[in-house]
Amino acid sequence: MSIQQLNTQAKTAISLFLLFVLTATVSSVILLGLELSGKKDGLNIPTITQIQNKYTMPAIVSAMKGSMYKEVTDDADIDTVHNWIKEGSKKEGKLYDDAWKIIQTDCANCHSKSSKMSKAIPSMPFDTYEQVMTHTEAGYSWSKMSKQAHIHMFGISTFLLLVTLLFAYTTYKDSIKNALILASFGGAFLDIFSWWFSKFVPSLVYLIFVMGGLMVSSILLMSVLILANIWKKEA
Amino acid sequence: MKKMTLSLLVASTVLLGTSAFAADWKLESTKVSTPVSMDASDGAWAKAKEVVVPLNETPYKPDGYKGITKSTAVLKSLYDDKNIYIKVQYDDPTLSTNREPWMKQADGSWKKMKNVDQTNHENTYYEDKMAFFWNINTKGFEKKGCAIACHMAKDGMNNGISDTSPGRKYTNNAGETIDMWHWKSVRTGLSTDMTDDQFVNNNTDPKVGKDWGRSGDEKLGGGDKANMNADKTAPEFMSKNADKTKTWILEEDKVPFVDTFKAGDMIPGIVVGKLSGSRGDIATQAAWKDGKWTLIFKRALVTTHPKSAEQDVQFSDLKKPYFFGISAFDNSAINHVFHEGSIELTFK
Ligand code: HEC
Repeated sequence: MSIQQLNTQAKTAISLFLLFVLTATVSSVILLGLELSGKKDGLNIPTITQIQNKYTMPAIVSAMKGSMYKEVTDDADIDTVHNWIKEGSKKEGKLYDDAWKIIQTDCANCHSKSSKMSKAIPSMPFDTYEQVMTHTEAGYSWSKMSKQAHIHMFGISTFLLLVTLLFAYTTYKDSIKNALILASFGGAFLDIFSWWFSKFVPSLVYLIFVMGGLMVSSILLMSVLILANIWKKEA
Repeated sequence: MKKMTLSLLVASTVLLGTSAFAADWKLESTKVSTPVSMDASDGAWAKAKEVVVPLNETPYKPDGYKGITKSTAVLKSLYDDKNIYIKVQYDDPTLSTNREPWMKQADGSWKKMKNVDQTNHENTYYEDKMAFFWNINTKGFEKKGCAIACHMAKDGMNNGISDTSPGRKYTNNAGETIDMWHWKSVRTGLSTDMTDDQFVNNNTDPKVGKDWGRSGDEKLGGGDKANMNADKTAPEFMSKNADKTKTWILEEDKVPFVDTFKAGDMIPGIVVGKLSGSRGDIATQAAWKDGKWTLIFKRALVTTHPKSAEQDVQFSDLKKPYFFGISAFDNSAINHVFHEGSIELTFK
């Protein structure tokens, strides 16, 4: 059997679903680009460096290079904070004084429990040393990783199963079907796997980049191919 | 934590994402051959390009605040051989000019009307205001705009000093200054067609300056004074021209207060004289109509007071970009709507 045998209503529903998938996929690339680049608009394809920052650096430092870059007074301040953390984030000495001053001047207006600024984030305060310390661990922490992994894996696998099942019942060659189905699931798995392990093996960020790309392109490609196939007259 | 993306998605090997800095908005000043009048309907403005800047952030939430939390400003600029002109139009649905007036009570006494918020600042009996910050030499201003000098207090402490104000303005390093054009509808604007020319430096000692980093440029005359008798129980003056200027008293119109009033009558809380000297560099024509303030600012491209270099932005090199930020105060002493980042002014 093939999806071409479905009735018009089913075909319509599937086509609309795929349009949602296409839009959602593109939106996720846009969102990721905005977060990593700190820009306000446009499609910003992430760079290896940005991905490296996100998955191998402490959250504070990667934010200063990415989503919070516009709050940073001077690029050199990012290195100052990074050096302080690399040297053990001690609560004394010149490194600490300099880093603390930067965090208080550039960040704590919004990152404070008592802040009433319209763009404040009181839930993530940098008021005390201890509060700042919770964001100085390199890469993803256990809790952040397990949170990210389960949300993404449940979410992605559910719609991927629908897309791949539909693709399995198109009239394309089996070799194409096998390749794209494996690429989409494999890409997603290795991508998420490398988020975690790149903090131990930095070169894995390339895997994040390539596997993420593979997953997105296979989802986009399958969706378009299904749309092209489903409305064809049966042979 | 913000929701992470659906997945790490990279559709292309073409890598964008250089994070080189660019100003958020650009204002081009257009050259005119003859001086521009202070009339907002002067035909010369047709030649100027406009830039629209959303003012959508506020620094704190005053109790009982009824003012705007968002506005939109439309800016234009012209210049001639001597002066720069800036036209600003922004949305403010209410005209507010009744600044801390005296009101006669039923028992015959006089009361200075006030309704301060949790930080002791007025948002009810106040005046509309608008302000510019012009970078002089402050590191990071081009990127962060006014935020570079914004320091919010945390648990009643600011920079290690106990303070009731929700925030203070000061620069981060010695020698860094910002030129501040502070248009106050009652104290300088509608009363004397002026803007209060002030500046910001890095002072954080309340004994050196009660407004920390903010202070006025040097003045030779003029300014405003509270209209209050010696024992602070009633006005000291009233206006011989009361119909013309209902919510302020001009220095030249003031006459001793004689109480012939009935309960509910009001007397202005302020006596205003026209600023002169470095503090009076900026002429400003203002009008409020149909929910919009329209302001025309005029200042010499270059000022020549003894402290001009550190207190006034100098438009001395017309090939250079100049960076600034703006904000509007809706009947509020310090709460204001502002924008993130900076606006870049260039001369064409
Ligand atoms: C104008 C207010 C503001 C300032 C100033 C600010 N932040 Fe943030 N920050 C936020 C808000 C709001 C969020 C949550 C939403 C988001 O990610 O945009 C956030 C999120 C974050 C996050 C978590 C998300 C991520 O991107 O990793 C980190 C880390 C962070 N900020 C660090 C900083 C640092 C470091 C500074 C100083 C250089 C700073 N912030 C300055 C408002 C601010």
